[in-house]
Amino acid sequence: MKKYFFWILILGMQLAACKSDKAVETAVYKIKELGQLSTSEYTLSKVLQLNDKGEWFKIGDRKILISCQAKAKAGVDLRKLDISEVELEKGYIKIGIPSIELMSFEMIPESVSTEMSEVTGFRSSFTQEEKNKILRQGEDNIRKNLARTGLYEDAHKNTVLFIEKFYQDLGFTKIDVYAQKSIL
Amino acid sequence: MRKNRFYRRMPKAVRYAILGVLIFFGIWMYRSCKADSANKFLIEETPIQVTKIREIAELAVIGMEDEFVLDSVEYYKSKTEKYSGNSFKLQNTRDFKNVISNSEIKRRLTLIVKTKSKIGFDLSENQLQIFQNKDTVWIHTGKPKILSVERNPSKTKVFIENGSWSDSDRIRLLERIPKKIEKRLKENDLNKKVESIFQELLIKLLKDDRQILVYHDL
Repeated sequence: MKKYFFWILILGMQLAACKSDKAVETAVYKIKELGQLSTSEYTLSKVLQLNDKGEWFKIGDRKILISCQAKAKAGVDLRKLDISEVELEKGYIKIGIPSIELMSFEMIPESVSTEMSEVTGFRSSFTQEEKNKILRQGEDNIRKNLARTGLYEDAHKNTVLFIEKFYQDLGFTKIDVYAQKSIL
Repeated sequence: MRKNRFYRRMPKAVRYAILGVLIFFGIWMYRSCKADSANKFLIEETPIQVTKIREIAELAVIGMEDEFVLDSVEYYKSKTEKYSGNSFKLQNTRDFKNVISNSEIKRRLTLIVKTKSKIGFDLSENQLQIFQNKDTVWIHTGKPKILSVERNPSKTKVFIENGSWSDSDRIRLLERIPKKIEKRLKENDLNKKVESIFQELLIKLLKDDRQILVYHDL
């Protein structure tokens, strides 16, 4: 009985120390043809605040403040433009623009800066891996709140102005630009 | 000898209870000294500030999805430096394994970054000019360029982290990506592809029977 008890203990400790690994993601990398016209660019900043008290058995706290910036561009995908619906007469054009989309979202690496970090007790300092995980949450949060910033409304307004100017330069005197689908 | 006798006199249940407490205490010590894990992080809600608004006119013609491995490694220059460096690493449970392996590496950071980049033209007012006659439309633009490179934390994996690394070290690694993309563009002559796709798109947009020529300054 004693012999088995020892081996069960060892097995239990091994299982407690085990960490599950996720399967490696695979992806195909390629070049895509686009036709994305970005007309509005917003630079957004955020301070990421983390107070990591840790689990009950950990002695000490960890606090960190990271400031970061993101650049978001919005506009229209010209490949979605329905050319069959474009009305053309001499000096007159009526064109429907596709819905406004987020064209690119970049967390600016150069803008990431640790403003404050405090580690007490037996806790370890923040690693780059941990900071990356904090930044992921920041990125996710900024993305979710993009619609509230007014980026898409601005992009719609700027797209209409760009298309009007473009066709004006081509000699059209009357240009009618409308949204193909509801964008907001 | 006396201890042994005392231990034997204890009932079995008490012996196992003492053993259980000792095991529990051992696991508690191990877990409290174990490196912190970032899996349970939850940042606090803070406001987002719009710091800059810019009216742009950028036409992305091709998009590239790629994966880059960025590696930075430093070796110990002498035995003395190695011993002092390793003794410093012993203070951190995370670097303990690197000390045991007696590696010559002072510190190493390897990132795997999945990127999305867009290449195209800046069509803002001073960059886009249109000239035309009854047969031809000439469109003058700037040279094709990289419009955006998404190197976001959600697509970044810290593969190896040995030793201590600062924010500026990580930034220096990430700054290598646009240069690598630029090199790839030149090697594969992608700028020509960008120009031909742009021309096709203009033909579609103009709905014009005239010849459309796109050119830019050399």
